[in-house]
Amino acid sequence: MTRNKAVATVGLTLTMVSTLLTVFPAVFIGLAAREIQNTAAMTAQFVNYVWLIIIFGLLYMGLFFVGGWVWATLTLRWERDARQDFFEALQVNSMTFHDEFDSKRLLAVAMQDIQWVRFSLNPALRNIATGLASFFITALLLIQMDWLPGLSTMLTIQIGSYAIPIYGFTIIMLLGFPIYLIFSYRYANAIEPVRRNRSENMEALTSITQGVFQGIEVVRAFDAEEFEIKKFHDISKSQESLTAKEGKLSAFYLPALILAGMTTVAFAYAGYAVINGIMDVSQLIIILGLLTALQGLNFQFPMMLLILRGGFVNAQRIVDFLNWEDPMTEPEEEVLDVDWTGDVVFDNVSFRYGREENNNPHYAIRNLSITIPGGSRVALIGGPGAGKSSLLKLLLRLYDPTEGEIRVGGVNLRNVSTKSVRDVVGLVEQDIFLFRMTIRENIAFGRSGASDEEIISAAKRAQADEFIVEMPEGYDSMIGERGMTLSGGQRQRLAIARAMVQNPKILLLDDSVSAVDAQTEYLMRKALDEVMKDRTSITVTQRLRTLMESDMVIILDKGHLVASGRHEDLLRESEHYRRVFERLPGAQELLATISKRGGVA
Amino acid sequence: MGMHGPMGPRGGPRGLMGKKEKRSRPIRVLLGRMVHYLGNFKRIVIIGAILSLVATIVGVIIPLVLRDGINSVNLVGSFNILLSLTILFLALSVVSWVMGGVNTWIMSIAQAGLVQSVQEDVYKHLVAADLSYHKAEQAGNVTSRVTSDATNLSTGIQVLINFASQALTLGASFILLWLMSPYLALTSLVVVPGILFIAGLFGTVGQRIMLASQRASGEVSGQIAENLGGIHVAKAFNRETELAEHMMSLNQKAYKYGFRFMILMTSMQPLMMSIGQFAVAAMLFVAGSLAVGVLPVLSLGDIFLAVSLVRGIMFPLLGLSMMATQVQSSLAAMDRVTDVLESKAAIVDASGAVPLREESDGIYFKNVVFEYIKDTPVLKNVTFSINPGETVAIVGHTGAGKTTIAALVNRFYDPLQGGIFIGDQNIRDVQLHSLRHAMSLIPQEPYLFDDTIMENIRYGNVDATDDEIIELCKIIGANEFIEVLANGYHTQIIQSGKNLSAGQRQMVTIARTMLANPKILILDEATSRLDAYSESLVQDAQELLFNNRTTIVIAHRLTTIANASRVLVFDHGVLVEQGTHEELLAKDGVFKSLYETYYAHQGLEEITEEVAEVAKAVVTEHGGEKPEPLVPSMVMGMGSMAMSAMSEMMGSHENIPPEMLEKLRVRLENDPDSIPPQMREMLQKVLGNTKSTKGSESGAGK
Repeated sequence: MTRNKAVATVGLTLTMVSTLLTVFPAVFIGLAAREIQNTAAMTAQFVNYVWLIIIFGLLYMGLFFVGGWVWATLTLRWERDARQDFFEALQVNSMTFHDEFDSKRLLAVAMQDIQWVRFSLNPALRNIATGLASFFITALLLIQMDWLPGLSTMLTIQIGSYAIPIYGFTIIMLLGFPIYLIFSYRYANAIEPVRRNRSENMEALTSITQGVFQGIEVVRAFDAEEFEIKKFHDISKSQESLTAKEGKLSAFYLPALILAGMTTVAFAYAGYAVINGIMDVSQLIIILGLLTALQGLNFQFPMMLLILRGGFVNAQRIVDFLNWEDPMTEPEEEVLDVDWTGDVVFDNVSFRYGREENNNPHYAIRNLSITIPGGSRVALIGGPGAGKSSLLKLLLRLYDPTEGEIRVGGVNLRNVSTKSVRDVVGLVEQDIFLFRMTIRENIAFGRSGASDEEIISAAKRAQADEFIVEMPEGYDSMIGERGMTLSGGQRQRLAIARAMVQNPKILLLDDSVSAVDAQTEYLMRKALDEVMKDRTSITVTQRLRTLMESDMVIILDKGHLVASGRHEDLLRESEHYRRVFERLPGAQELLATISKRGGVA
Repeated sequence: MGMHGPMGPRGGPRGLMGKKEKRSRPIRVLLGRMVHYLGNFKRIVIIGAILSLVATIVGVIIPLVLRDGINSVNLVGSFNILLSLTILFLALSVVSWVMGGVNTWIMSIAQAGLVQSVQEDVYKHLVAADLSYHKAEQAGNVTSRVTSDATNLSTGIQVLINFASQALTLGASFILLWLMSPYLALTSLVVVPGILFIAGLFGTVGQRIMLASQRASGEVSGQIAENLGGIHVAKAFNRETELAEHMMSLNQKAYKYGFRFMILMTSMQPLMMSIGQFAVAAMLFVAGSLAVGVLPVLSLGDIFLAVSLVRGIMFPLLGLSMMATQVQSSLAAMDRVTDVLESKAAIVDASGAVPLREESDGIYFKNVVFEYIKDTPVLKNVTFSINPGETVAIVGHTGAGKTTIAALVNRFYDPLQGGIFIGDQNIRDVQLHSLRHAMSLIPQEPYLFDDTIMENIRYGNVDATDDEIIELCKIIGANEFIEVLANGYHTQIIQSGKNLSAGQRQMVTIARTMLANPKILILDEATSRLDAYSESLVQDAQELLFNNRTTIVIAHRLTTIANASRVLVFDHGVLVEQGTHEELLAKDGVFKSLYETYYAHQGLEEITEEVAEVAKAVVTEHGGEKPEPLVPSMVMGMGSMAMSAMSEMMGSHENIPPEMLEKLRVRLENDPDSIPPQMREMLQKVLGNTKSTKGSESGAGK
């Protein structure tokens, strides 16, 4: 960090020194003019001044470039590292965070906001620094003129018997310079919020537009074109007025007028001095040259100030995300010795999404108490919103229960680090997510360092090998972008293979599949049988077979435990289970045969 | 450093399609159109032009005043002249400032208004455009017609306006120099090679570096998007570290290219300044030699003026040389916008269209032929009737034409031949508005807007109260899951519904449709994403709410088929069988095979190896299960990733709508260079595939 500071200083110094080289040519022009005035001939001295200007130009180019190089390295490195750190910080945050924030927004912060902070350093800060430097050097050059013999006594204020000399240029610069800066700052301050507003409005406009075109069929189907056009009209009108407002504010850059005023006064003052014979005309040329050169600032300064000013807001946004307080904490002293094959106990567990302070009144799981014997096959059933997937997520420690505790082998999950929990608990989720990597890498995602044999054997057991080897590049086929796309059934089998490579002690499966063809179903059943072997498994399912073959069926409704037990017992004892069961495809026939058999017996 | 531009989306999602396409209209026409749009702001533009003219002239005069000041104090030494010149200088400065300010101000009003009116025009056209247009274009591309193209257009106009004042400054400065001495004017031309060098450098190498840098940073952005989308998987498998490492490598690459770009930008400033200084030196030398001797041509003040005017030559020249690219891109934007504005929708109300009558009900297809792409019929002479109040299931393999039927009934397209009737009214002669009011389609992919759940449901009927919506959700069993969400009904849908499960998304769309309370209902595999239990709940609700309503269900589940009063079986666009479930099974035809492949096993039935093999054979023949996009909705949402989304679609070529495929094919033939090489390859493969399957089919026919 200190090294960075040193490098930054060097870079900044270089760019500022190079500014010196841009200011001086104005002086040389004046000196050359004096040469002509005095000699009325092309003297060697005159030609020297011309050369000096060229040499200074070259030097400037070199120095500025080196300074720019250093500065670019530094700020771009900062940008890279900030982005990486930000991403890693997001990754570490618990799922509560990711539920709370749209990942589009997170992405925007990671890309745009960080970039704008960098813009505010480079080019904005760099340009402002050089601008200030040229202002400063100009001021020094002008102020030293006040010490020309006779100038300080040209104008005096008579107070009593004292004659107070007036240092004209000093006054012009010392008054004008701060006023210029103050007004620049106020200018940027006034515009920045409007500009931000405008860009946020533009984002909203883009997102609404895209939403409508993506869902154009829905818009059509509900005959909502007029409604959408009206909505668009409103937002584009407000975009118009914001743009016009920004235009109005930014049109009048008051500091430009201040600089013109300074030039005017200096012109009059120096002209007066020349007429009085105190200064010569070449000095007047120098002064005017220096001040007119400053006018270039009027273009850059306000723009850069805006970026710098905006950078603060962007930085604030980034910091806000980084300061997000995670409700989930890792245990200070982790229990390492956990019997993961032991019973899984939910002890009066209640859970709701969101952070405590958001006060979500709705519980996803309420007062759930149940013991799942180690090594058993459990089927989980219930309607939407019953809390099935919440229960799985709690077991993965993606969240901690709001109340109550979950114990595995007698150890509270809170006392085990998320890393250890997720090492031994595996997941096959409902909407399978695969990465844009090769099939091999996607399967190996289950455990780092999985060998090729392990990967292939897992794929075979998950009934995935068959379709993988048929692909043009087999296990090295890319999935997604520039690669193969997979059907739902294939994706699910890959996810099962991924879980097999991980070889978890506790397996969580969300098997709420949509309808598939018989072959896919056949392979899936085989894959599921394989993966459930030799471990505790909890499956969200609607398959009759899975329900019947399970050691235990848990039925949930609105976050409450309704009943649990073996299929046959539940069928007999639980009215609710019977109702659910009857609805599953094929159940009617099954019940019919059972009752028939029962009748015979 | 103006290149970094102000805040706001930079460029926006331009995607693959719009960028390199050649302009189809002559420049004259496009410029004419721009001027036409500006016409609405005639007065403002004229005032602005006058102001900027005056401001420019004043800007040129100011150094003249200083020159006279220098000369007067040097040669005359009169206080009065100095005083009046000082006042003149101040006055001119103020005038120039005010004029410039007012000009910027009112031009920004005109520009904002212009952008708004273009945007709204384009938007209206696009909302009304045929569905085939939307299917052929990505949503991101369509959006950029409204957003970035309109902005581009206004930049172009800004540039054209600036052009006048830049050219004026340039001309006036040059003439002034010429009047002082032709030598000076000629000397000022030394900046030309320098300027051309800068402009050339940025036009060629600069563009390339910029694109490479954008691409690299696009990769980073895409990776972050993907990783955030799969964060739960990364967590579940403890793989955060590896993903972070991968991220670092992409980040490093972006850094590398970003660095090149920045170095280029950084070198621009000293280059410009140095060229300026060299020009100053040259000018000083020439002016100096003209100011010496027995009869000096120039005074000292003239030297000062000559040196000042170098800037007046250099900066406008630089501006003008950089303008070309901007004007180019805004002409291209105008061209694309014109495409949209000139296209006429094919599906519009016929002249003399009447509202759909209250008593018209039932759906009747009469000899309907339809094709998306010429000579590739999707429906071949289809005739069937669905009587009022009847529920009919449609079954068939992928590509049999099921979804097309749903689209035709909604009149998203018009059939090529034959007619579609509601009651006895041909839907071509019915007002679109009343037609769509009378029916609802629940599409295959549930689509939700990024708004609250409440508003999403209310989309079905804007007049519905909150209570009505909640009541309805209770009936269909959606209330249970909505209530437990973090903000209940006011939960914001993000990214088209990533915070809901597929089944939940489907429930919301079903609720929306039920709220619309249509006379005719079309369910396009609408419940296929629900699990069996939830589906049965929804079906109960439908039974309750949609009893005796004309319904077409594109069926995926056995129970749906069993409950339908009739089943229509389609095969390759032909209606091959119809009847009740039992009748069809007894026929032992196409339906029987479909049944065994897709439906029979949904019960408890044990699947034997044999059944699986048969199913496999059937499925393979018909193209099999639909591949799903890798990262649903996530990728599409990212403007900056239009490119990767595009290749995403290319990968799953079954997912490319036929219209888009056709468009790409035409483009591949006419203008192959406009498609990036790897895409071209992919495209050729995809197109080759469809050809070869056709080939094998005809081969089998022999």
